[in-house]
Amino acid sequence: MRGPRNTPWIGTYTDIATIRTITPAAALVLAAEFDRAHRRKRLGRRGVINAEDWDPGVARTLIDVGFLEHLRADLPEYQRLEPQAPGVRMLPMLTGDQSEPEEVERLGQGLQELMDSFQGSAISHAIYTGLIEAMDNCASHAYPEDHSFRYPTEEGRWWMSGSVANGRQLEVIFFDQGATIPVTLPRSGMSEIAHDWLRRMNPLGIEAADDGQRIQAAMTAGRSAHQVQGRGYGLAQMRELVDLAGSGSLRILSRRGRYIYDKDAGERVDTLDQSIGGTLVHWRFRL
Amino acid sequence: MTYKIAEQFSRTPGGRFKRHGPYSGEQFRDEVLCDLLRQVMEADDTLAIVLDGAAGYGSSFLEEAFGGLIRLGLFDRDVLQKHLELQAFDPLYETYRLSANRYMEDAQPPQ
Repeated sequence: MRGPRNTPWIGTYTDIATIRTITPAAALVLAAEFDRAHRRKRLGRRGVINAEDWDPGVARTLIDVGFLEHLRADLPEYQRLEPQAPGVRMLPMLTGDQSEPEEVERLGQGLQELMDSFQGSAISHAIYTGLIEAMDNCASHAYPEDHSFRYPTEEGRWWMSGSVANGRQLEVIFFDQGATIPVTLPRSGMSEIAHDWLRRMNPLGIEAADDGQRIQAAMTAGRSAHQVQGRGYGLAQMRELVDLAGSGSLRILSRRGRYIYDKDAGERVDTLDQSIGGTLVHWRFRL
Repeated sequence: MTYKIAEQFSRTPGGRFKRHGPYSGEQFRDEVLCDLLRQVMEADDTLAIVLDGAAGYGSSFLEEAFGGLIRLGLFDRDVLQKHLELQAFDPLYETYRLSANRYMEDAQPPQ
């Protein structure tokens, strides 16, 4: 569409210049959203009109995660910059829609290039196991056919990346835009069933009030969206991997829920004000 | 009889079902494990499954491969106790061995 004198009109605009700092996890979620729109709507690469106003560190992180693939700009002035935080490098985003061992291996190879001692370590095992399980969870539970999604999604679609800080702190991030754990996990026990009844009576108030607890409940071995024998071990295993690695933490954000398990500090559960629009699984390890 | 998953099936085991992607627990069970178990049963031998060397094992893979033997009524529990042994020589793989054994203990045969 064009305005007077044939000037282009801007349909939608995302102002990256307002972002002053961005974590690897947030960068992945942002890049995933652009990737989803690109896939679903077959959008061409987006124009950039104020790249000179972007925070250099933010630009560097977004470049590393692969955000440029969706932009009609190479931003050479930013590609020469150092990362946002000293010593932090982020890997390009990978995406798929199945359990894809080869992609997990690709991520592992990328981490090995950033961290010499990675391959063969207990952490590398934990990461492989956690990611392959996250992919399988995504394929099995995240995009149920009978769920009404707010935005068009792609069945089974996930995104993942990793980052290394100072050669010693490793982060691995996995994200899907599915129905979320609080939605797909059936309620059990009288208190949870009562909560579900209250939610039906007062959807605006009670809808997501216990999302954090729902994630925690899903950590119980045997609790599964399918309520089928033999299911429901995956999330508990993701937490056990922190113990297997010997250090670090697991953070899961799903809808508005936040669950954190730290090897030293234990569990923490809460419910946030906003939904993340899917489920984010985020491991941190220290070598 | 010894079978090393990482060398003879895949160094990178996948998820639960074949439809989820390559090297699934279902694929391992149906295309490898069941046949080997029948062979050792016929020979009154033991099948040793070595877990070492793989990049890792998701719980979905292990449960579908091993728990599924009982859960789907493919083999009786006492037959597996007699003819199947899971092995992990590197301490890194002991957790997977323990998990797989637990999934077989938890599995219930069809009614």
